[in-house]
Amino acid sequence: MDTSLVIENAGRLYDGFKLTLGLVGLSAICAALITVPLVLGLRSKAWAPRVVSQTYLTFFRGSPLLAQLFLLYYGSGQFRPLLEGLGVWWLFRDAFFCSVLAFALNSAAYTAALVKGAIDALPEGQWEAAAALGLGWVATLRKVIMPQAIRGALPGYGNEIVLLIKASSITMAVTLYELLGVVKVVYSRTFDISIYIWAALIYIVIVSSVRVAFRVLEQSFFRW
Amino acid sequence: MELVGFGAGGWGGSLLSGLFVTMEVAILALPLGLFFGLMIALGRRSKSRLLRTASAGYANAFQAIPELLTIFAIYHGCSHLIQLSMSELDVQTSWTIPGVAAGSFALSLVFAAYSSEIWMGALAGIGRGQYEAAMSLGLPGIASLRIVILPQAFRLALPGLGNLWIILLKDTALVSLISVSDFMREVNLAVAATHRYFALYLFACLGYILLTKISEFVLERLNLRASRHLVRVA
Repeated sequence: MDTSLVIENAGRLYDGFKLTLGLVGLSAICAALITVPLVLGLRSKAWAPRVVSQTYLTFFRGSPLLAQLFLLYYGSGQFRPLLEGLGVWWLFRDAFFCSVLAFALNSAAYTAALVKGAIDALPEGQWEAAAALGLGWVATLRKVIMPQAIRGALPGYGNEIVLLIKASSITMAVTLYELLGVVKVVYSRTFDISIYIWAALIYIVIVSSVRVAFRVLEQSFFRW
Repeated sequence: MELVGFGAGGWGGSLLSGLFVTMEVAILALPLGLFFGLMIALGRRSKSRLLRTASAGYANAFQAIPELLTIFAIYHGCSHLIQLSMSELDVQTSWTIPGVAAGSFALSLVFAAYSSEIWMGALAGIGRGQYEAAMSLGLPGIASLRIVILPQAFRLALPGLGNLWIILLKDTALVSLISVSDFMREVNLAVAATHRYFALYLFACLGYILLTKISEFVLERLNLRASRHLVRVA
């Protein structure tokens, strides 16, 4: 294993690495935003929001991310006049945006199931105690329920971020070359398989850092 | 509807054959992944420190590496090795490993890493007494594992392994990127010919959802069957 292959392509690999981080970061933020209404829907007393959220979860958790990405990126092209009318066509034309949207929609489904599970796991007494203190709905969630639920969901959420990092490697299918995409290009130029081993090492380092970060988070910020 | 039908101009035939290839890749990966996973789990419980570190390293590495990278590395790596050894023997060949074999082997490596966690949990869930009883009966290691431990561990592992099977089923879509004619690739080909992007990709998603739903149904039955001795009779 010589390092010259990595050194020669360091610039390209770094660009791919930055794109991977951008994809993952932006998708995670968007996913968190989509998760909130989903969890509310899943826990709603009315049947309509429950059915809608449950259908959403079934769709996004039951099919491969690759198919969802194709559906969004290529499928949106068929609705070009409509999207142009809405003034959002420039977004859907862009492979980066479509990838972020697909990842966010997909990840939100898994995160919603995770958060719902963490909230359901809390004893009924927590809600009753908050009600007995006269706390309103928002205050109950913010002061009593969410701090505990977040603590419970954190390890699972760390896994979800790791899955997102791994999933981001499929965007080469829609012409977006992040880390693995760059690696694939380097391979097809040099036919040197050691580039795959280097790529594996880079991914192991990234994922290990995320795992360590989450462990620190669990042990320092959420120790009550 | 005639787009995915079996009549003239319909893509039903090739889509169905793609669905079979998808099932084939997943079903080929399963036994190998289960077996590797069990070996890794046993390695992680071993007395030898080297074996423990190596097995844990394997599990961590393959849980961190993207599935697609593993697929590419196996696909190109194996072809490369074969061509290299052939040229050592002065045989000129451009033979490459079949995509189905490379894809399912790569996915089984990943499945092994994840399933080792499940096996670890299941093996830990079996009381010490079972190991001791097997030993006091004079069963050698392999036999105690096969006759006493595994039948019990399998029931504990089944729900977790079922989840991994569903993940595996969805991950097979990635082999379309090494030109395996699985369901995803057949859909891509139909799209390229008809330009019915939205309808066909939606159909692709629904096809996979059908597979996962059928799996969930079967797994639920298996779980019930595996724990039927625990059902309380009124």
